[in-house]
Amino acid sequence: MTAKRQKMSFSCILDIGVPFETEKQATIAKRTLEQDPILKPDDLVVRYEVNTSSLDMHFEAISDRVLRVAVSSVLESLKTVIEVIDEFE
Amino acid sequence: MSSTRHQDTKELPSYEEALQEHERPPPYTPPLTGSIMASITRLSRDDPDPIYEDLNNVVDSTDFADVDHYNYDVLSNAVRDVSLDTDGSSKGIVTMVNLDQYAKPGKHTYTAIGLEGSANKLGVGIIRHNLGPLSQENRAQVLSNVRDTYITPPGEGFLPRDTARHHRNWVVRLIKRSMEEAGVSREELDCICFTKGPGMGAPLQSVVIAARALSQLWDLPLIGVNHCIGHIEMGREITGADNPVVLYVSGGNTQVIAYSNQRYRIFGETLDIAIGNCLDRFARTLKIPNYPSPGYNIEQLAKKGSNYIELPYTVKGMDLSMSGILAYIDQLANDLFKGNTSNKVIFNQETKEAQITVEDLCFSLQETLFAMLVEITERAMAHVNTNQVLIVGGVGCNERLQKMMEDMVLDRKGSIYATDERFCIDNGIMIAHAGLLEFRMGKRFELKDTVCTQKFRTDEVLVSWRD
Repeated sequence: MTAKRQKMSFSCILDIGVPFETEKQATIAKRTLEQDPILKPDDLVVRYEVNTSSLDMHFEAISDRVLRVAVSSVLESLKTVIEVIDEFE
Repeated sequence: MSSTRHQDTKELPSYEEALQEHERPPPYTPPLTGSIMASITRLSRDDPDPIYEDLNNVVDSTDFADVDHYNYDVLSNAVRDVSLDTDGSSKGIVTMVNLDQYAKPGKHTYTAIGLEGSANKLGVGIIRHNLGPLSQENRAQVLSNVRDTYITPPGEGFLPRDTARHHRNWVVRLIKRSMEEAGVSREELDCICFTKGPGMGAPLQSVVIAARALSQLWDLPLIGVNHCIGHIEMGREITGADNPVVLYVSGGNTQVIAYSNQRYRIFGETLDIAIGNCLDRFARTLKIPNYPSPGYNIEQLAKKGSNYIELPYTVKGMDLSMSGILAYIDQLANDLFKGNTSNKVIFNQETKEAQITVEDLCFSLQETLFAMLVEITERAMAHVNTNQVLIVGGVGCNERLQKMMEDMVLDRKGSIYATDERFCIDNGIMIAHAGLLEFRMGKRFELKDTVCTQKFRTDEVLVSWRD
């Protein structure tokens, strides 16, 4: 993992885990978010993973700025997903 | 549910009544002094092109063999196709499209929810179709149609990021309200429709997120809809227009469209900015409010204007260009506000007093832009040999545009179809309607196919539900 990061020269890395009530909810969030393509794959890599009922997001970016923009955009979308689940499940 | 059904066909006078009305001077139209009349009459009289000579008759499409047009091959094919279609249907040999081959056994209706957010309006609508082909006897039912518009302060346009934030804030509340208004439970829904494009990227994406989450939560298929197709299909459904030339005029699009061979083909369109964009940006220059919409406020000002100022008239074949007109009229407005008395158009050179007003500018802008639209629509009608015109899109609620188009269409003994702001301005119900038609033809979207696109042309969509 470490070796790969160095090769790709992604210096800014962030992991966020969001706990959900059920694994189904976390899967819905993952499948909703992962569809939209990354506009600049050379600058940013995002991975989503569901571990039991938690959505683990892994961001790797070439700069703080790219990382901040990506994380805030994903969190904004995640808020909509959570609101939908909260309201309509 | 019939009480909640909105039938919105525009009441049109009979042909004789309309003709009389037409011969009287229109109520709020001041005498036209400038070139606007000249430019219209010039088209019908002096131009030797055969297309203009027969303007007052419904012309046989084969007469256009020597129309000089850059896109003539495509057009002539389209003309041929349309005339074939007409021949076929009159002899009854065209088979009807079966819209019910995917119907669930035991169910007599289809219900769809549509989410629209391609620009500054967020709309959610729920529509219901009965089994069988749609007709005047079997119409779609509008169960709910709610909208929330992101309004910016005077002088400011809406930016993608702020608009997306508005949509995210409201989308869940609006879906909830729409479901409550319709009195529909999630079990009754058949599919979830959303706008796939064209539009602004960030607002589109913020709405599709909700659509995807909802589709997985309720286990319903997703249908991505082309925004323009939504406008056209909803316009046809509401007005009952059968095979019209469609003028689609909104903040982001300006297109003249006709149906041929399972595609809505674009006959003419803007080469630069959309007509609504042109009006919105002029409203920003004037710093007039964006509520309820900038175009509406320009229309109200234009009613008080009477001096026509000559503006560039930029029809290019079947296409339009509007950025130059905007730059020119923006300059006039700025000179007027700054009191730049060297401008001879605005200021009387002897008294140094302004001889035109903001109202005159709005009036002139509308007259010029709409005359251009009428011209290319009229030509498209001749090309496809139809005398129906359907106006859709946000600018379509402008009554002056409707009136000008009506005058032209009545000259051709045709009929004009338009809707009011509930269905003209972007709304969720049209997305639900067009999406439900695709659903009934068996179209389904995987999650990976639900990525929105800013560019999505009207003719990319295969119109499988028409023959």
